Amino acid sequence: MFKRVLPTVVAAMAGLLILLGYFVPIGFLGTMRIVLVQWATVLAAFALLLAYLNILRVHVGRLFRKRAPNRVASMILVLASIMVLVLVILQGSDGEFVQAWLSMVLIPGQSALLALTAITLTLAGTRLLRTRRNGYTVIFLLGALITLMAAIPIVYPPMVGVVMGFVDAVAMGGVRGLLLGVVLGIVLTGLRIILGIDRPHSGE
Amino acid sequence: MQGVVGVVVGAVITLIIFSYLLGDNVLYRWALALLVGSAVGYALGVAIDYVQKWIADGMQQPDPVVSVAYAVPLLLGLLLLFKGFAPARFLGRISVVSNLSLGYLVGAGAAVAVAGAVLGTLIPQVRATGTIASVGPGLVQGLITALGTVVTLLYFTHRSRPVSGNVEPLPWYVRGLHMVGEVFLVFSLGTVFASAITSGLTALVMRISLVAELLRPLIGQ
Amino acid sequence: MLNQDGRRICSRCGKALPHTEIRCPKCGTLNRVGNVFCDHCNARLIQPSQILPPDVPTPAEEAHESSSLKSIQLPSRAGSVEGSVPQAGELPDWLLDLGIADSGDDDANGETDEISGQGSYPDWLSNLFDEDAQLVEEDEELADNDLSLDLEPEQLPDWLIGDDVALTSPDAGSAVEEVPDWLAGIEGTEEMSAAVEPESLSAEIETMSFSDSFGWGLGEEEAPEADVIPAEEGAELLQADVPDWLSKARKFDEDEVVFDTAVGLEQEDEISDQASVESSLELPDWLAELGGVNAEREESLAAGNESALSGVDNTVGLPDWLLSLVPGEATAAPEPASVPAPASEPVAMPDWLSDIGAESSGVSSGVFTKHADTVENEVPESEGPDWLEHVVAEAAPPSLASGVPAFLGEEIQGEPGAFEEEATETPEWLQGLEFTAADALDSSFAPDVALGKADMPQWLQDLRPPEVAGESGMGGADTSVLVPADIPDWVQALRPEAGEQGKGTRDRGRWATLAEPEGPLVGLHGVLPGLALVDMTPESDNGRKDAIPEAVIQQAQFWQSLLEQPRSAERPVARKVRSSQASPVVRVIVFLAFALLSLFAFLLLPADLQFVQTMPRTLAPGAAELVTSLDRVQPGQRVIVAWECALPYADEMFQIAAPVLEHLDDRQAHLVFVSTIPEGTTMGMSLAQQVRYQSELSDGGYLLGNDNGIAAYLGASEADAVQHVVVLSSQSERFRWWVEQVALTGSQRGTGLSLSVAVTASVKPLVAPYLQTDAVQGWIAGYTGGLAYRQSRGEVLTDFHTRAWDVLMLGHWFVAALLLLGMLYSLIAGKKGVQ
Repeated sequence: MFKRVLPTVVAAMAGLLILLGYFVPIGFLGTMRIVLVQWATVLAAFALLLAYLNILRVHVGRLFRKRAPNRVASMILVLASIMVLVLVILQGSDGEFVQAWLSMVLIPGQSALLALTAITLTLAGTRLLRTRRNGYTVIFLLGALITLMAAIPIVYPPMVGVVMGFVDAVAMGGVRGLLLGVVLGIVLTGLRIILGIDRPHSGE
Repeated sequence: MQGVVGVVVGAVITLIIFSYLLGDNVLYRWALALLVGSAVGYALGVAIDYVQKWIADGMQQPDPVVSVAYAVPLLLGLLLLFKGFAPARFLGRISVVSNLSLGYLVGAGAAVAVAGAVLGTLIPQVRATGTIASVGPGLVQGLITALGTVVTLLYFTHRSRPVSGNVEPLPWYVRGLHMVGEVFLVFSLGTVFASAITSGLTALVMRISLVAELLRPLIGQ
Repeated sequence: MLNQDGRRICSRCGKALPHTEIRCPKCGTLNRVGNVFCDHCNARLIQPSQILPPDVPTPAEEAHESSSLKSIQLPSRAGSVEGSVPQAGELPDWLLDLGIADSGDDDANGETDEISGQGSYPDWLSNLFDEDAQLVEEDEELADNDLSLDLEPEQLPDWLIGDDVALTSPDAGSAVEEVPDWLAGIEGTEEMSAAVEPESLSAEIETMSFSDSFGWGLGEEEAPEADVIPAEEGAELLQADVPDWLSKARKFDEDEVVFDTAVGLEQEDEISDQASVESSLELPDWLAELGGVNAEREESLAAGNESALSGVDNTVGLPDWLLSLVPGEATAAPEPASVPAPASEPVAMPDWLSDIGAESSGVSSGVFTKHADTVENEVPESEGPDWLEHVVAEAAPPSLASGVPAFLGEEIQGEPGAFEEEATETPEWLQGLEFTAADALDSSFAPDVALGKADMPQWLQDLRPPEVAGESGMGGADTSVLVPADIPDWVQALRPEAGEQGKGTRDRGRWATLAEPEGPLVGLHGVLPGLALVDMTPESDNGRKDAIPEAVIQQAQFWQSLLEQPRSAERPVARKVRSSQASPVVRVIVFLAFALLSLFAFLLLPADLQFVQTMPRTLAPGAAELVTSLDRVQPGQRVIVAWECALPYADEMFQIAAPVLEHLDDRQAHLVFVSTIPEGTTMGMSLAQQVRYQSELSDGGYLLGNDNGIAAYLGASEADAVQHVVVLSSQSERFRWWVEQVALTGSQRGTGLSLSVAVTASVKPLVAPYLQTDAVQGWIAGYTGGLAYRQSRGEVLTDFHTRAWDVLMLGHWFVAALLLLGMLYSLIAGKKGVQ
């Protein structure tokens, strides 16, 4: 009952009411849709709490386990998370220390990671043809090269603009096809959940 | 003073992260742990703040019915927390009730996603695909985009394997379309790859520019 | 019920069937069949040293290999021999059973396996018991020495497990279930009811787990508790009831072989002596041998559980026709109390069969190694039908002495459980003889006339090769043309062909071609014969062959190939995949090169030197539209700024969003920062402070629940007054959420929300389809987009902006050059990827 039937009924009812709120222009349904969606946001907060507790469980457990790998890293993670949590609770998300921590530690660190990614991606691209030599790899690298050189051209004659128009058309065609495929998948999956065909909440 | 400290701390963190270029090392892992832990703690703090505001709003509601409506997601959220208990324990055994909360979360999310996908992406994108300039390079570019969209979608066509027997090979023209679709897709991914490098380079240039600002007094500028 | 091979659960009751598993020699973990290495300790389950070379397999090697597979459990199926109907042209069942020994037919039958020794097992299996056999020899206590000995039940095949159960716990209730069907049928016959008292009958059935280890022919085992039958009466009865050919055979035996159940095998040497004295009560010797084994077994068992075995009348184990061999008095008035214990009933039987019994008895006594010689010395050579006698004379291996056809002897040696098959089941060839041969045979038992064509069962006639079938039957074969040592052609044809491993002769080849369907020996032919071959009806045979799944066959072939690997075959080691990641030196060189180049450009290049001559706004056509869009914002109007930029992209987004915020500040817009990223609003507010935003600012907060949060926020009353949304994003998915929800909200309201976009360069190709639609009023992407926006607003780019753009241009060309070099190098150097 609680494992499958009720959750399925709840999911279907919530989904249908929200969908009706979107597509049926009745004030009551619209209000209900907003309320139901707000409930989901509050639930998401509890889901975040659950995720946080799970992270703590894993890393705190690693702290007390002998021969566990990266115990120091786990300790740093736990301490940092608790410290920032306390800071945010005490000062709010826009508190002075919170902003300082954000600008002095988080942003430089994460930006450095992204900068590092640029180096590694570049070197991976140089070796791509050695590990996967086929026509598609050449096309892939060709697309990358054209995009890189056209990103900031030294000079930009009109012909370059025309060529780049075609290049963008090809790229957008592929991405739009990809996007439509993704969206179709989302629609079908969502409808299967609402209709009770798929039950991810019950592990099915 | 805070600016100097911030620059120094940021530079140290940056150098530790860049130490990965020499190989995976302990400092890099510690820095990663610091970043991940900070992000997680920040996210939870913000979430708690959100729930606190929700509770405060509910407490201020004069209508008891509305207050109950505020309490419902809290109750569902408490049920959801049962999911965290080990199945072998008592609370874990009754954690099946958390499926109610999960069901609600999944159902609501599915409905919002479906509605947004249909009205916000599917219809506009199909309409945009069919909107092609009538003359000039725009016409050709529009046709190329439309062709790319169609063949890329065709490339993702999946066929279910029959219960018995093998899948019959596709006709040559369908295989040809699949190949064209793959070409479009691969080229698009190449541009995405290059764009990711662009963002990385931008971040690197901005980091180096900060270092340059630190070095500028040293070279007399 | 019988379940098909390969089933894991019973198709009727759904209970799990025991399945074959391999015990790890290192840690003892039971592993799934098919595992080459242990799941637990990764030790190799079959050592390379134990893998047979394909060409010269020696028995020792086979035994060594088999010893590593001690934990075999065969699928247990309640065996029933009723369904085994010999097909025309096939071997008779008793021969078939020798070749394709029942592994799990009757639990009770398996008892024979324990008391049959090495000589009755194939080498690979007998070596399984090497150590145990030595222990038995030392102890010389057969009954107390379970052949499984140190082996745990799960280490033994089912047929051995059944033995353990039968021996160690002759539980009445379980024993009843172990009675073979044909014995159950015997139980109900009138003859049996007349021959055995009901009490003793039930007791017999209850202890059948022991007694039917030899199945039929156990009447003498009951002798200790049965009436003493006068030898003369017994002789008369035998004269009257025994088939002539058996009577003739008995004449050969009675002065030479005797069986003393009381003395047992310890007095095996005295058998012949006692035979001369007690041969008046003549069961066939081969029956007596078997009975002797059982009696001895019972005696030894009786020490452990005497009550369980008392009152057992093993005459119930006799087939009908053999029951008639038992003296009438014994069957008519059994008086257990008056039966002297050592009432041996030496009966005559063909020696070639008695050899089998003697062999098994020798084994049962624990004399595993020398019994064959003993039997050979003691038993006369020719006691069976001549046609078999001639066959045996030269063909029989020493261990089998005489009387046994050569191929039979090999099978007895080579097949586990072969012996109990013969012992427990009424050989159908004998059944056929029972009804046809008794009256027809001449008392002189001339081989050439004793088995006339009319006397042979049809199925046996069908077995004959054409040239023999054309004569007057088996008995009619012209023995005059046969030298005593000759083997008839049709028998010779049944012999396994030497030197061809895994291949048999014509008829046996049919069976041998059925590979073991599962287990560690899967795919091997005839090594562990499947019970289904015994149980199946002929009609179902073909279907079963067809029913073997292709996967099983492939698995069998795989195991076959594994087992046939040469001894020296090295264990294949997965080669380490070469990482496609560049070495640290290369990474550092590339990084330092770009960093030094950038620093040089930032610090040392003259300010008026500008590499990039292209105007940024020419590269960002949407910048002007975005400016136009934001120009429509009225002072004090609420503008939602969705900061969907992750922390790593903060530097880039600051350069992109700063001119937008400055523009909005100029428009005196009331900014409300919201984000589905926890740090989003804080970052936005921080940027607003950096650009010294003078107008009103609000923190809309973190929108939990992703698109749910966006929908909830846009649906709330506080967003009703909002007419414009600016999305600053570095993630395509979050950007899509905003576009979708803005579209939904606009459709709900009836008046559309304006949407302006500023995204990082990394996400621009992915969101390009949205940027080309009417939903977006204007857009910029990347650092270039930020500069283009400034230019579009008429700003003059600062030195930092132009210098950074130059450096960024250098970086792009640097990367492009590296990619080109990499491509060229790869084309020249060739493919050097994953090995």
